[in-house]
Amino acid sequence: MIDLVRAAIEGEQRSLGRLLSVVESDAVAAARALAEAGNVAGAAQVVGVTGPPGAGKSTLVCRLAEALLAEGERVAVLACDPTSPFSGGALLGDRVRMTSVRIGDGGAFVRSVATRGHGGGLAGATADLADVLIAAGFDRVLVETVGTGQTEIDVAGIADTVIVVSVPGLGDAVQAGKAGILEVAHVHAVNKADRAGANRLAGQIQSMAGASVRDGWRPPVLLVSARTGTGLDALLDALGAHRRHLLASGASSRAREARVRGRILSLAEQAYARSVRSDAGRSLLARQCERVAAGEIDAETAARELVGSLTGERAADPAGTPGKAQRDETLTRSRGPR
Amino acid sequence: MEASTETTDPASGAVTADGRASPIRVLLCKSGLEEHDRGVRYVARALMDAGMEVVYVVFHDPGEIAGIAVQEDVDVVGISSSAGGHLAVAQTIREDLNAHGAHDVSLLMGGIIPTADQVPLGAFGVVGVFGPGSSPARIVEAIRTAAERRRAALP
Repeated sequence: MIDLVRAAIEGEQRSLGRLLSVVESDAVAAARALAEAGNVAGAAQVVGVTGPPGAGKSTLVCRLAEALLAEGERVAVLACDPTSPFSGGALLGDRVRMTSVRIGDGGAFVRSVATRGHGGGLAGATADLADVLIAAGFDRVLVETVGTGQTEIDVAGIADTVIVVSVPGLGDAVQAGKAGILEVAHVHAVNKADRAGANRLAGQIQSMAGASVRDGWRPPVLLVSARTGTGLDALLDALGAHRRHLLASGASSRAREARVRGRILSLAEQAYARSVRSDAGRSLLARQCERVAAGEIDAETAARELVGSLTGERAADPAGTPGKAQRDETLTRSRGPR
Repeated sequence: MEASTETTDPASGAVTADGRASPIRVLLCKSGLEEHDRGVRYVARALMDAGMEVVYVVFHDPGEIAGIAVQEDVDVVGISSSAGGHLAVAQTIREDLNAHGAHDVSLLMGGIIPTADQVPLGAFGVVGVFGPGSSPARIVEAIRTAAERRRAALP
């Protein structure tokens, strides 16, 4: 693991690809790998790109990556696509729109990510993958969500700057004002600017959502065409301006803190779930079921005692397996006379 | 079309590592010189239905492929090509993969490939050649075998 992490953060392509897979499939290994990579307080900007299916996210990400590479930046891309709830498989087709982006040494690192059952528009491991790429020294990490609806806003928790891509023809002014995805935008990009209705949509977003100021930032509404490149310079300027705003306001670490918080919480929940399902956890549960059935205690008390026993035992043994003395004490308590 | 006997259990096709789902990843490449892609899309669907993660790309130069394969950390690369030059394509990809240290990534080739080329292709780590009309189940099985072999040897 240590060798893999070292090679990966030095930019060796296969090692970085392997490390991303390890991180993607094992949350505990991910936490260890990130600890090994060290606390990187780099100036990397995580840019989330989200919007409905067919909005042109992949094409826009391609354009952004090319422009940033041309400016000498190190660019990584995480492109998410949905996993089938029926088969567990996925067609990761975002990359096909990025063939013009130079990859490899001096080029971009592009990784296709399947959601693997996670909701919210991203894979569960996306925060960890982004942090690995930051540790590897990329200047910008572009994260493209799946085609999202109104409520899939996980991207807001992991990105420093969120671009919401809209396209004309999907709704009216009221649509633009609804809660959800439009609220999380730091920058609005109305794509396919050459289409009828683009200017009107931009106006609607401007009046309903663009007028709001969050954390001292008023989200600009930009007309772009990912296909022709129109509006790209303004979009890049907006990304730069938001990055400077975050640094000036001291909010630049908020996304990183959110990723750490999410990681700790998720690991804690998994550790607890493992302990409930362990042999000791299951036998405690069985005893509690008997006591509830016998009318000794109610279900809420049974659950509270279960949590108390398990967390008490975990505190005694970080490995999570209850010590024999603790287990005996718990059994005696549960079998005691009422 | 023969009826599929494979289950649609989400776990099918997943090669577990540390007890967590870690689906087989395949890079499916189609030559940009050809227009017809129905065969490739059909194979992509079959692999997806078998629980695999399929990264789909269109290439113009076989030199593009190995770099993508290592970034995506795929288990197997499948190339669809009916424009000839299969030996050269396989050799290029094999040499590039090896230069990246990815000796363990196997190749599959699909499309119209002369029988005479099939044995020499084996020298480049091509573990299966699938012409038009090949059974998707056989393709899935070939990929699964190669992927499991690779996973078993990973540290």
